[in-house]
Amino acid sequence: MSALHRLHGFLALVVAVALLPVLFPDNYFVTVVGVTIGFNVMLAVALNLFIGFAGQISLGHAAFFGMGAYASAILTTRYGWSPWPAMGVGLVIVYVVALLISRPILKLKGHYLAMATLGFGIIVNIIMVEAVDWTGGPDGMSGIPGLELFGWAVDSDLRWYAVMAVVMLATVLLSLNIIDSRAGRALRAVHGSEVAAQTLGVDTARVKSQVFVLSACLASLAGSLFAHQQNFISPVSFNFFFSIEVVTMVVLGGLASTYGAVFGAIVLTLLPQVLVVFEDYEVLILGTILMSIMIFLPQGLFVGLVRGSTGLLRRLRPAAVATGD
Amino acid sequence: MLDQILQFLITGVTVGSTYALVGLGFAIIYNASGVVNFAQGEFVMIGAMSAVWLLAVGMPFPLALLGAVAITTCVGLALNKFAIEPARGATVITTIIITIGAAIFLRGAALLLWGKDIFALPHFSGEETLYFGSATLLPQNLWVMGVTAVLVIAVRWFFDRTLTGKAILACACNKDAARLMGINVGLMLLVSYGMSAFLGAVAGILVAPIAFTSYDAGIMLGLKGFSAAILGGMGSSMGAVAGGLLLGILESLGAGLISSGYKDAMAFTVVLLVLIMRPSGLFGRKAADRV
Amino acid sequence: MALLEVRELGKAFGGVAAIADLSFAVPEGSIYAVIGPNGAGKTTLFNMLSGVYVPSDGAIEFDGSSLAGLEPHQVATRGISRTFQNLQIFFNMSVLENVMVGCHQRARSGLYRAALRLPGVVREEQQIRAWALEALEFCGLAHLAERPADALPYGELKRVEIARALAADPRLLLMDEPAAGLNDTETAELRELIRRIGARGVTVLLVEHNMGLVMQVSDTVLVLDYGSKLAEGTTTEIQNDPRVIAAYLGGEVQYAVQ
Repeated sequence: MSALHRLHGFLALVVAVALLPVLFPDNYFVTVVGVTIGFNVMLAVALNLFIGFAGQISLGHAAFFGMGAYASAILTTRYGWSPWPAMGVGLVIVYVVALLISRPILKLKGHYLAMATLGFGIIVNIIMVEAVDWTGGPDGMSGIPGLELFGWAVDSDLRWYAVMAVVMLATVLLSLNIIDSRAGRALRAVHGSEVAAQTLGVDTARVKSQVFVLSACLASLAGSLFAHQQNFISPVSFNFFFSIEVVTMVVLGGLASTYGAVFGAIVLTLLPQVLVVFEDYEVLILGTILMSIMIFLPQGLFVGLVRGSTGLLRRLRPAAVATGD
Repeated sequence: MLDQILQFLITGVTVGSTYALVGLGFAIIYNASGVVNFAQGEFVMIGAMSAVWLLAVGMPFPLALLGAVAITTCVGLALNKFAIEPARGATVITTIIITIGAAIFLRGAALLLWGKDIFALPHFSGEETLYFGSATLLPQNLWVMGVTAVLVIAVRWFFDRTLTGKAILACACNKDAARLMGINVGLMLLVSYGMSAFLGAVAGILVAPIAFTSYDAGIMLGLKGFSAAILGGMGSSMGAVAGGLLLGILESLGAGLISSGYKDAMAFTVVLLVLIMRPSGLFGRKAADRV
Repeated sequence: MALLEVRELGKAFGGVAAIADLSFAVPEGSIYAVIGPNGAGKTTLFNMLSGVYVPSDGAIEFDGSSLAGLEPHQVATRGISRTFQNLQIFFNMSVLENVMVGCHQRARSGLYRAALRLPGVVREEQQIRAWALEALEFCGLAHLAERPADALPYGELKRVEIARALAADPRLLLMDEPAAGLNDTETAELRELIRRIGARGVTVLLVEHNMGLVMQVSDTVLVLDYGSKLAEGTTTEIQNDPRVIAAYLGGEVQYAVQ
């Protein structure tokens, strides 16, 4: 039953993503903002595996996003590599780095883990700013080539929309697959009670490390795509604030729900676009909205709204629900 | 070479004093409520910015400083009242996002009120260079170190010797037991937010003549203060002070001897290494899960 | 033959001995109870047996091989499963999922295979579900399988923990105060459940305060006092042991015998 349930939500998402550009052709919001949403959904869903399901904290995930982007940018512009192998090398680098730091760092808990990941993110960002010979420093790197898929150049907003739609949906499916599996339950068990999980045979250190690495690799992939899509990158896209932004997407949507992360990423990408009309008040309002949602809907927007609407339904149709139970 | 190091130490202790005060603020709130307040750095910014503003509207210098501290303390109290109290019982990560939201809000408010310019306060007592051996320092450096020392001792005395201080510590140990003993837990939380906002404001005002201030100056200071508190071991207030001083000195030595661009990276690397070797900080106690 | 053998076991916390020089053996297929006043070191003993604490002294042998140096998850794969005195339920999951985590070490597929949902994964998933349902059925919880764990009352959660531990298909089940907080009816049901677990061929090591329950289900009883063995024997021997009566049981034994 739960398998069917899962597919329903996913199919609805697929249909929505496919229909949007058809319903609104040549719409800036759909294609350009849609691609940004694609990156953010990828990052949020990936981070949600680590934060929402495994119950850990990372305030430095933008580092992995940036490492993927810079690996692609450096290898293609400075060494003339083609994008795909560059992306692969970025992935390998992030895999190795994430694996190396995961064991010592993931022994930490709560605020100590927050500090360690935050520190890691800041260190990586400083390197991006300071290693000018490699990264171009604060000015960033331009002239990053676009992507080509079997002779099909991804050279328009709509084509990028298509590519990001596929990659994003694949990430969502991946997350859904993991959650309802032996490995996914082990993850959630780490969140529920680490000791109990261990005494049931779950190697919790390994589980945490694995999901951290997977989440980092997905972020790296998103970063490489980002570099090729933007053709220009600079350190500000990968700083502490962006790490916090991705965490906020996860928490805002609702922890431990893949669709919550999707929803959070969409809301937080659209919000600044909408708030632009408030000009000087933009930052103030953004802060107020963040605080209010977390205070009044601590389980997140998605979970909060779903519970709220089912609660309303129940009140409206008490008889129907009673017989349905 | 030795003279140079002495010079770096003076700078390091000055910067470290600010980190120490911010870290102390983190530790006080964490001790009373278990919340890590990521808006702590904004207190520093608001203290400095409102002092600049009060001066600009014509208030005499000492009065402007007092007024700025009062404003910031009120902001701290309001933060507790309107953002922290309503979210009681929220998880670690939710409170992190709430306080980050509050930080963004305060930054937005500062941007609206005071714009994007960079400001400085006048030095408290002149800018005549003093000589300490072959190293130089400004009177303001002495102000920073001196006031920090006095505040640290006062905080220590407050928690060791006064009933209110003990009551706040009791809230940290066990909220329910504290309530049963007749301690007004809500009031104690309010006091701790007020205190840490006060400390932040003083830190901001003290360094504003040397380090300048702007609406977004609070972020890095907040992160450094958090690092100081973690380095010392969350919940150990004297640990936070030691952590802050250590961080300041490391940064200044790193900047002077190796590279100024990488100074923050070096500070954070040390924090990471310390955490890997001592997962609960330098002076923190190891927490054990009870099964 | 002894399934579990503990020799000269000791554990000290900062110089204070919680367990000292403790030796005993649990025969395969028996129900073995450990009793003793609060602070006698019973939970410390369980934490060492399940690998959560590292002993300061002595040795633990399970099925003829030492457990020294094993992590808790490695101990679990040897065939030791446990329940907890303070509930350690995964409140973020359904009852069925809780028990499915119990099957963890009976299955293989990892994170990456699951992410791609390879054919073997689906098959294994069905197998895990079947095992978990069987364990729930055995504990009389099948009708609650789809409920979120945080919606269940305390007494039923205690049984979920037992089902979860049984789903691991253990040879030795450690039960840490399973009757604590249960009412009389629930305790009677628990007594039957423990007997059926024993009849299933699972060796049970029981820590319990409820003397009635201990005396009714146990083959052997070990009395701990201040971390050391005070007495060991059959229920009758323990009830008549003057040291035990003097030190700890007193009137309660009379009550239990009636």
